Amino acid sequence: MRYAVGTWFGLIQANGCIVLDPEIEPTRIHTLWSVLSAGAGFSEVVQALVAGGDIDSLPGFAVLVREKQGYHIAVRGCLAVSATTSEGVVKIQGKRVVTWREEAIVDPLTLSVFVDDCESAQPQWPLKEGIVLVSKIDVCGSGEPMGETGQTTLMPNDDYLNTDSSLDSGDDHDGLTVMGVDDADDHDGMTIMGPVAPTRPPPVPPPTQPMVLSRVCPQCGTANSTRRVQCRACLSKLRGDAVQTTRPPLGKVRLPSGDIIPIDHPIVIGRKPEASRFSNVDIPVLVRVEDPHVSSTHLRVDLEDWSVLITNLGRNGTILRREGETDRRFTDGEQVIAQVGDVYCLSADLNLVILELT
Amino acid sequence: MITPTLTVATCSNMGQKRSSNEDAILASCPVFIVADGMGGHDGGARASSIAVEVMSQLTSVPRVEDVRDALTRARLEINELQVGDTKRAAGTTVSGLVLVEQAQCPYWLILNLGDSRTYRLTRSGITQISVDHSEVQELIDSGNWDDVVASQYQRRHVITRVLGAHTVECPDYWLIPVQGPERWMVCSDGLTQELDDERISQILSRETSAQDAADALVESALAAGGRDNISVVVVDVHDTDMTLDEVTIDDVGAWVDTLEEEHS
Repeated sequence: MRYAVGTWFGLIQANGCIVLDPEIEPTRIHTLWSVLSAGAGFSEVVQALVAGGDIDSLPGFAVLVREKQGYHIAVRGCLAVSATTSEGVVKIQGKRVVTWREEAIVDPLTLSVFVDDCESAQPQWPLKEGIVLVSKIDVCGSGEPMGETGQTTLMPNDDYLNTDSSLDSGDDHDGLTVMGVDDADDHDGMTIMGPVAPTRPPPVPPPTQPMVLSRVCPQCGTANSTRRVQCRACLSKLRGDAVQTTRPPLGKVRLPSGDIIPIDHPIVIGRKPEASRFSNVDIPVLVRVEDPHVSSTHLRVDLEDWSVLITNLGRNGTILRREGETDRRFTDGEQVIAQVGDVYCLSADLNLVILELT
Repeated sequence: MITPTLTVATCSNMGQKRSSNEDAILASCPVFIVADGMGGHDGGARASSIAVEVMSQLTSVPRVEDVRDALTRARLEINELQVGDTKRAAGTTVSGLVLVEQAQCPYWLILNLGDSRTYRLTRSGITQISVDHSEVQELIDSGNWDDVVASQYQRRHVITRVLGAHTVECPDYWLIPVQGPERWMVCSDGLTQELDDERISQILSRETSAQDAADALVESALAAGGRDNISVVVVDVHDTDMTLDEVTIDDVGAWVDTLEEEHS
């Protein structure tokens, strides 16, 4: 699946996804995550969602669970699901219903769930499983192959394919690198740079430091998360539209060594930690620990907009101790949104503590 | 930090079809890179040599930030080149390794802009560490294409990121601990468009000497057509001891149990 960043919780698993109101209590997210992770069917997930509450207190949600013939879907609140099937486009709105809307979609070619007004968002981040803040999720189609139940056939135009084997004998396409300017007359064997791939997004100039959408305090100028209504520094009421600002440190952590550092870069912890594919703006801090129970690359702290995400990469998993909850072990690339006070245990002796969050 | 012992070899050839070599190589500790220039007139050759020249100013053990800043300096210089052809502004790919230090240990900083490539050879074969900035790669990543379709794509030489060409550079990096014995290979796309990964892997595994490996790769690519400039850098790491032991324990049921008991 792919997602666009937003403020709603998106719980993504191979068998489906759940989108939840930003105001929902974290314990319910955990419950639903366990249910979804356990491979529950549609009715079990919905049951877990509505359990114990009366209808009025239900949060906005969308549930999309994969079944043999396609997807079973429930939507409530300011969310909508849009699907294309061989018979046309289906849209399921969650607004103005007392309970929820339910629908089964057979073999969708594309299937997306989005927060109202975010239909045009372009999901760009692929995710196999995890909990992220979303405005839209492409479940299948739009670049997400659906596997055996549905076939998305998004082939490039024939123009782009070498169908007549003229590639090597032809005029300019003699096997040399080009960075595409205009396609027209330029391929004489030089490297050129190019736009105009069938699916390529327009080029965006890369920032030199991480930027984030913020509400800037009119009183003290502090950048705040877009989810705040009061300034985190001076408690003044926030007014006006959000703007792009450089991102402040998102908090403080205590490393296994006891050192306390700001969360202003990704952090990778392990016996011989590796960092893969990062850019100029997210150069990671590598932290080495010597403990045979810890994997060579065990835990990663990432900054995503205003959230701090913790990903387990260790073979033995990481135990999360969180106030008011039973200890939970997360494994295999599983990701958790950090909360203040969280203790992430890499082994019996080594842990990472979230001391502060912005 | 223990400095690893390295053996380095390079080989570059104009190819069978080209009249100039726009590739440039830097293989001097701590920097091992290949740059494949692009642009009208001699812009490509000048861009790739600027990249190599500026990167050669990195000495001893640079920080990641130093490498980043060197790339920025190179870009500014390349963008000033007057090549008299606005449509084909000068630029260059850059791919390769820089020896850096992280947490008191030697690390390889792998960097990439464009479609030159950096490979690591291990017992199980080669792994391409860099990810091409090319239209083809983006189409594969989007999930719509498989390798077979991609290999027939006419615009497969179109790259999407570059150093220079009036763009702001946006390199990708990886940090991997130096763990000898290991072999790294950096090359321009003149090699990879002639030889597939399996062939490259065979040659790199077969040749024990770094220079023989570099030469054999270039020879094979020439024999396969040699349509573009071909440049190869091979880096062998000899020292194995990097201060960390190799202990790995798969099962930690023990500590998990203790933890849960303590807490309950």
